[in-house]
Amino acid sequence: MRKYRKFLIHSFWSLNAIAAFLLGAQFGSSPFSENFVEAPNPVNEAPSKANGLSLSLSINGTNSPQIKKNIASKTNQAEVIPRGLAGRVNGASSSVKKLSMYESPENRAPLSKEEIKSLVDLAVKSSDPIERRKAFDRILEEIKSESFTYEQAMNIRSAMHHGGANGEQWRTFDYAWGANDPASAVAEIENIPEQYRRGFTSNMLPGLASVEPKTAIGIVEAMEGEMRQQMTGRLIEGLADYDVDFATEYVMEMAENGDPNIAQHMNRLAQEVLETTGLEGGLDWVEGLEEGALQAAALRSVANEYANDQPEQAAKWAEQFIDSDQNARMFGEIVREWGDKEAASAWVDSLEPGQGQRDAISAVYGFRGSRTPEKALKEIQAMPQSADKDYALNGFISGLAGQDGEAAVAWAAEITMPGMRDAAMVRAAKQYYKQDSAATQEWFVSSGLPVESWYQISGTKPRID
Amino acid sequence: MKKSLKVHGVWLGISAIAFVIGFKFFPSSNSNSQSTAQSEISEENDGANKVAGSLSGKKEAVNNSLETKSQDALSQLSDLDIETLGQKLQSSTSPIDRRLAFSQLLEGLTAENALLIRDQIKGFDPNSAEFKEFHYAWGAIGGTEAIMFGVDTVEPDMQPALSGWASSDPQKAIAWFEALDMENDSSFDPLLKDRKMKAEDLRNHLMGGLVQGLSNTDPNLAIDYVKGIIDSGNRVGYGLMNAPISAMIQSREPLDAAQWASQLEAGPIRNQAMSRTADNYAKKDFEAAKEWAESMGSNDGVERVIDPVTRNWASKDPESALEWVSTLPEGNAQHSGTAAALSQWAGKDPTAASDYLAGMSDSPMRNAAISGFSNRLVWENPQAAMTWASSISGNEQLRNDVMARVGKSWQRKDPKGAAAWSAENPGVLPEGK
Repeated sequence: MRKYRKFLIHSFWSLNAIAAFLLGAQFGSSPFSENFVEAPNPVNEAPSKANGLSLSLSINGTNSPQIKKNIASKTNQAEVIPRGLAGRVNGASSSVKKLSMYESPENRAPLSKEEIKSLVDLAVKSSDPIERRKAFDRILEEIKSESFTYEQAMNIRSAMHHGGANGEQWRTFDYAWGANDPASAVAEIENIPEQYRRGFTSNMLPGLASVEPKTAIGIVEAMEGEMRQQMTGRLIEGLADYDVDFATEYVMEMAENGDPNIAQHMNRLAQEVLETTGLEGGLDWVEGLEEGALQAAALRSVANEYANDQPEQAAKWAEQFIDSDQNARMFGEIVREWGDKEAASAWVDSLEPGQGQRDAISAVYGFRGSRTPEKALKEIQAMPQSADKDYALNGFISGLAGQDGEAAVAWAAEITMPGMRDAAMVRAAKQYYKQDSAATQEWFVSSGLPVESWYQISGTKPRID
Repeated sequence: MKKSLKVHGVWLGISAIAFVIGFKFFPSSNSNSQSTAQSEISEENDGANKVAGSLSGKKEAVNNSLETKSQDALSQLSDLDIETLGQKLQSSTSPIDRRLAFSQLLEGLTAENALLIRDQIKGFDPNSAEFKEFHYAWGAIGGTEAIMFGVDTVEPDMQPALSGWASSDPQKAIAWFEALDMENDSSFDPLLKDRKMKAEDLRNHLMGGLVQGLSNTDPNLAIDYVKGIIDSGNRVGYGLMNAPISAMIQSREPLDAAQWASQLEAGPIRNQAMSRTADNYAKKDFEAAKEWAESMGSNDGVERVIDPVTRNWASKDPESALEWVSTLPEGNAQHSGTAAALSQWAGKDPTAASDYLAGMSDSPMRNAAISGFSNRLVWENPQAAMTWASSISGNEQLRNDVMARVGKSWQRKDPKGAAAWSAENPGVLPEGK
């Protein structure tokens, strides 16, 4: 009986111990442990890999809070850690998980100056690309948070400057600032030292335009000269992020007002539309544009992208535009992007004669001029004198010039269309100049080109002596 | 009674300890342990900048714990979550939102959902950072599965996958790579037979990924590995040595990186590491780099440091740089600095540089100066550069070397001109070019 009693007591306590263990395990993943990890710690400069380790651990888990605490305290990264990238808080409730997945994480204290510095250091110096991305994205999330302040922006910029952030990081940060805190970002244009103003404005402007298009337009339209031209391109990128139709209308308006760089702006818009809406969206967009020079510029950009990806389909798609001479350059674009040059040549042969086919012929001979110049030349020489032959020569010399500038300038002179001939000679001479500047000078004297062309060829003013 | 109390007390203690053990080491995780994946990516990343060794045991404990929870990790991102993020990645007009959506996909990546996530990024340019980073992250958690997936794709995804694996589990990745027998392994047929790739090219390509991954996690291990490649006679190693050097330059302070380089074993890797880290140091903090270079005295390899420091200085002020070089101990370092200064000066103001040279009396220093000057001048005026090179005196070997080097550059710049000169001066330039 006594033994039985003893057995009962020990059994009871054994079960009790098991229950305690289970209870402990349960609490081990409770909010208590998260709070414990999230307790703010001072952050100071830790080696980048150490930072990386702690940041990653935070993402990975609260499986072992004690370990986490130890690592966090050693690396002084605790506050950064538990929130991790995209606010992943381990062991969080499902609602928190949802929150961290789709929205900017809430319930965070703003990043301190030290934390910002640590994150930026990690984003710049970690040798692990994933860690660099995570750290920088944490900064971006901070910019998107309600509590983001001008002081934080300054701290980030300062840390990026001292840490040696790369151009892509600057572009991304400035864009995010413009898009998420437009007022302080715009004010910064005046505050920032002169030498950084242009770069900052150029980076920030598309972000601003993506949320406050009219403010951004106003800023650019108040500019003049080359600065305005450069910023217009950036503005268009941001307007397309805001709304493609809005951006398109803006560019159309610029065309109506006689903007001299309109083709360039349209090309920029097309690139941006392709980037944000993908190829299908880009095709829909360009096909919906009004026929004319603007559509032609856009078609060229879209054709380039399409042919780069799916040349056969791009070629078929392009044929619907062959009737209009102003669309001709898209055909050359497709040939240049087509990896299988034999298939490209066959396609060019099958095209209806016209400006589109000529531009494509030019592109075909551009390739042949660089790969099999002698064979290409024989083919061209066998052609009757015609516009086709001029176009073939025009392309041929572009391909040849890189390897034999002297021959290229000589063949360029055989082109019969005067405007095309001069342009081809200058193009070939640029390469010739790189290969033998003295010989190019000699050739130029007897080339018949206007003296101003020398600047285009050499980048230097002509010597009159 | 007393004995009974003792028994209860002991059991109470045991229960308390059980609670603590459960709490600390076995938390029931419906928590998002995020997968073995992430833990492997980051926690085994104990490279050059490792945290204190005391942490390693704990990291292992975390790993072990996470490994047992891979099933939980699967619930991190549902298929719907992944597709929603993929949609956001493709259709959001904000580049910031697209970027963050991609990062969320990477965070939720597991070996099990990798293919579905890959579907979301298939529209990315294979050379984009996103495409490479996805495969890197997948490699880190999926190892061979992630690498061999690339056998059937046209995109270059095997290399970043191997990088990722090497960064998370260097030894296993090395062992796998070393054991590869691609010619006799039918799983490589799509590449070797169907796409007609050469096994050696593929091996070298993958080796690049392996070394990059090792460099990210442990540059010293990467250096040892590259040394083995070079010692085996594979010249690809000379290019690969730059990965660990770059990793050190990126992740360390300039002085740390420079000191690391100077402590490497003598040889081509050390030479390259010293040159690049000193150049980086001079660009980041010129004065400190100069002091460090001076402090090296006549140490072995000091010329590798003097060259980039002088070069950086001479690009702004060649005469001051030359003055500084003249204060250095005579020998290789001084010659190297002189050549570097004249090379920069020739690019900046060839006339002034040649005037300076003309004023120098015959000496090893002048020979060094001519060497640097003509190496640069050849790109502007090859004929003059060759004339200068031929004026090196008292050291026939050096003269021949410099003339051959100038000749090679001349052949690249202007093959016809070089051939014409060579016809009149046979025996200096390599034939057949």
